[in-house]
Amino acid sequence: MQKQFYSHIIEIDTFIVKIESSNFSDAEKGSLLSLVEHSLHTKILDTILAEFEKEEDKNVFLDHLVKDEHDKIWKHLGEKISGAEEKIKTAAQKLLEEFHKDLEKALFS
Amino acid sequence: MASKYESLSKKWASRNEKLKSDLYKKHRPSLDYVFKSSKHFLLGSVGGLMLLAAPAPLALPSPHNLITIEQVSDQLNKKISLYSALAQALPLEVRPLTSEEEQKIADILSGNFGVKVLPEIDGKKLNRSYGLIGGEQHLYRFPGDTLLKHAESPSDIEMYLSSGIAPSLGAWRFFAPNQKDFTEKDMLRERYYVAVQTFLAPDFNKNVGGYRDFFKYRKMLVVNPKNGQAVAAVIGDAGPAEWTGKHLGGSPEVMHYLGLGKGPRKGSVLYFFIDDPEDKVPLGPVESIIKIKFT
Repeated sequence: MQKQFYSHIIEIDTFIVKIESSNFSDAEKGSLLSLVEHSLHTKILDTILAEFEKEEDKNVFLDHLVKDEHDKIWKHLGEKISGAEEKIKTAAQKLLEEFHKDLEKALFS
Repeated sequence: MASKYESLSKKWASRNEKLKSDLYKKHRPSLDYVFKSSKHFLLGSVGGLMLLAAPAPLALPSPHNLITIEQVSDQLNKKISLYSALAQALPLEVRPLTSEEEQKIADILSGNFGVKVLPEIDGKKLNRSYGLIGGEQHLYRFPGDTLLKHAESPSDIEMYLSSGIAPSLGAWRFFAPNQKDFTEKDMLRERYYVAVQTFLAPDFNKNVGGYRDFFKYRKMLVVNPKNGQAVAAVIGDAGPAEWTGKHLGGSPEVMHYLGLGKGPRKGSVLYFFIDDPEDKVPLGPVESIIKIKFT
């Protein structure tokens, strides 16, 4: 999975191991992980953007994101959003739980 | 596991679409801003996401893109002409062509597409120029590349997600040493690549280095004789193995533009070298040399 600015605070290894140890083919595993990776990214962006009060703050964040400037992203989040890290963790965890449930159901049904 | 995968994949793709749709609905001004302000958004980490986030609009033709009945007729006539010429020149079964057949077909293709094609350049040729093509996966283009980074537009998504990415590197390794040095040319090479049986080329074992350099990113015209659709592509990989029964492979985009992107993703094609020493022939779908003028 591509390193994102939030990669160090999201626990996704357990999920990856579960997918990797399934009987899906490598192409299928890759496809499923891509969907999860992309969904997480979208959800986290939505969560963050919804927290900014001003449009210009959103734009600053997206500018940093496009340039992969992780330090600047966190500095900006720290200044503009209270408890940004916790909010990201919570949103990601909630979404991952849904993926976990779906996977369990698919593998053991 | 196929049905379980399909069920799961469908559900997760649907969830993904919902998330993207929500994101775009709620934050459209900011997302539009970042699209316009970033020159490199296509290659950036967020670029693919932004493109995915934009719900695909209905592609209604604008007035200036409408073509006349006469122009459609011209296009159709050209296809029929090519189909007819190839039908007479090609054998009934898919087999290696004789030198005479190859030359005749090369002349037909050169005349039809306005691109000089040859079965042999500098005494080097492939094991065949008429064979069965099968669909390949995407290739890693630089260290750290991912499948999602291949997406250039919303319409790409279905193709990229379903085709997957090959677990190992292509015959020429990465297309660029790193993401920073990854160019549009590299991007197009991976997008429009074929895998051919370089290792079965006549005399390959007598001059492996020379053949490798010759084949690496060599441009080829690939033509589906059953529908006249053609693509200019590069040799981006070696394969497939003989036991597969296939003679070459095409990237998801190549297969799409040959009209072989759906169903079994295989079919018979013609593939000839493009004589392009000045690198002027662009990669991608190739139209007949009869230009359709839009009114």
